[in-house]
Amino acid sequence: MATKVYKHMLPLEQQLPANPERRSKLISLEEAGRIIATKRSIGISGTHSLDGAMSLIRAALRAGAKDMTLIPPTSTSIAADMWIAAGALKKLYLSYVGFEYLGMAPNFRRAAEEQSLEIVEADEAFIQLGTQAAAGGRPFNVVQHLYEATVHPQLNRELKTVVDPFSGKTVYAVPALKTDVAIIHVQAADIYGNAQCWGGNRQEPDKCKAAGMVIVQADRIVSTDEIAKDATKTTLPGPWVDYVVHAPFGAHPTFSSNSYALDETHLKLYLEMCRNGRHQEYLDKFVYAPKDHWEYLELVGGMKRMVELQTMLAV
Amino acid sequence: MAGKQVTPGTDRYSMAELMAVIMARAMAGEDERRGGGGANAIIPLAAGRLAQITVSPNLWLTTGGAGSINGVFDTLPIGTWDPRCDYHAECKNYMMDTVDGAIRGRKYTGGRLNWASISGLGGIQVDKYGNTNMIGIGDHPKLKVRGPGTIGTIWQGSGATSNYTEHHSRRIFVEKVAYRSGAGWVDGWDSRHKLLDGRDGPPYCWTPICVCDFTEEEHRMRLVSVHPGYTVDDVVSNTGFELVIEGEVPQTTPPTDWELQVLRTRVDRGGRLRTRRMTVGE
Repeated sequence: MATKVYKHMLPLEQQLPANPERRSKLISLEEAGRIIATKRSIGISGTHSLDGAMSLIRAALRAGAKDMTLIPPTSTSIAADMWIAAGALKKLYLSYVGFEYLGMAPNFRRAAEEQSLEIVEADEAFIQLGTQAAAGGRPFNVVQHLYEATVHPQLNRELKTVVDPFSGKTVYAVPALKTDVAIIHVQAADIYGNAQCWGGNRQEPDKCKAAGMVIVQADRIVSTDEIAKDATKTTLPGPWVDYVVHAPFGAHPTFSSNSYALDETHLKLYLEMCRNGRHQEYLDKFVYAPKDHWEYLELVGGMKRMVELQTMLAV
Repeated sequence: MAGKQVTPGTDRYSMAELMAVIMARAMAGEDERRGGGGANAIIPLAAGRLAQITVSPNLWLTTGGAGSINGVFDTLPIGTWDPRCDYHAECKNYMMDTVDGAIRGRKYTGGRLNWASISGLGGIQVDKYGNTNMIGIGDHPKLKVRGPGTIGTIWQGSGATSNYTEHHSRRIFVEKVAYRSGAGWVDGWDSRHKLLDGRDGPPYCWTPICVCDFTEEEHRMRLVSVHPGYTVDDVVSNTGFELVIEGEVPQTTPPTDWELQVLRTRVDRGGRLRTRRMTVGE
């Protein structure tokens, strides 16, 4: 009979780890892309054109990501549209995909009208409450009244009704929106996964809790001492985060909160090319051709352009 | 009236500036209220900031994507998700708080005078009862025109939320929306109160050429004033349903020099509203 080992009976010096260093979660962007490409459902954050995890998205597309289901933030632009341009999306939970003052999202619109993309007619409440249900391990979340007055229950088959066991009233049930991986842009992180989002409306924590894996891309890698200066700034605790990627200006061409502005010139180029059926040319040039993040940054204007974008927020 | 006009207005002000000014006036008062906005809502954002520094000292200015309360800017951000909305903010406004508050319809988060953006970026409709459509036109899911999605229009059901649109045409102002993604007064009369636990519908609808409210009993859209440069006929010929028109309809009081001065020096120094693309007709 095998003897059971009681660890508390063994002196510490007999149990010293082979590697006494705290383990770093830092991986390369390319490796992160390969990991994401093995997944089938993705949660992204960063409302509209703010804090898009664009480096990770480009890396995942380079690594051949396909047949993905995307749970976007409640409003988004290029961070959803680019997946569709690349034909990598199978299913989209829709709340808002567009470019506001720059117009409609061209690839989303084309795919929707060609019906080459499965679209769940979701909305802000559905995305947020479904994500929150998944974040807390609950099977669904509940909405009273509101869907009664809209067309969503007829168009969205994933929205069901259920009887409230307490009041006996019929209420709407929003399913838990779990994902395989959440990919999040942050302004600063240490190598152990403690991450700071400096802006936005904090959809990140629920997106992370609802995911089987969390990968963050950080504009800056900072020391843990820097993180510990103010623990209240840590919006994503290290234990939630599986991998950290260093991606300076990684949100380009979207905004990075309190760091740099969106690159409107580049977004207009994207829109112009995609609206004229040249989305493949855009992807070939800006997503597939650059051999790494540095080459991408050179291609879109290099240090000079990045500093210009930073300066736009310094006024 | 000429057909399609882009960025209409007068030599003195653009139509977006006029809308920001009159929407700010409508928020006058010492009550606590919420202003600001979500997707594509920079006119309500400008109106809220203008009201805050002029006639509505207790207004809480909130922004959707940027997630700030009482940000202070003198150059209008490009969207309510622009992190420049955060400058000098007093508090962060989290998405989940917005959702919880909107469902409960509480005072500060539901708001009595709130703005829903129904900017006409294609496939978007509003009907005579103030219902809105952000889904599209055609047989779902095979839509002829795909709208951008319905974002937070569900919150139109949570309390009195005014509609505004940056485009005015028969394509947008229709008898009945193809898909009701945001609830106005639903089918009129008491239909909304029955469906939504007695919660009131939209008080106003603001457009580039006029302001409407809703009649007391049927809750059908009624013309209140027509903006300078336009006539009642312009409104009628660009509206795809019969508006209630009672007697003489006055002209909208144009912006004063002082209002424009405050708007241009303390809210929108960059002149974003002066070049905002809005259309009439088409």
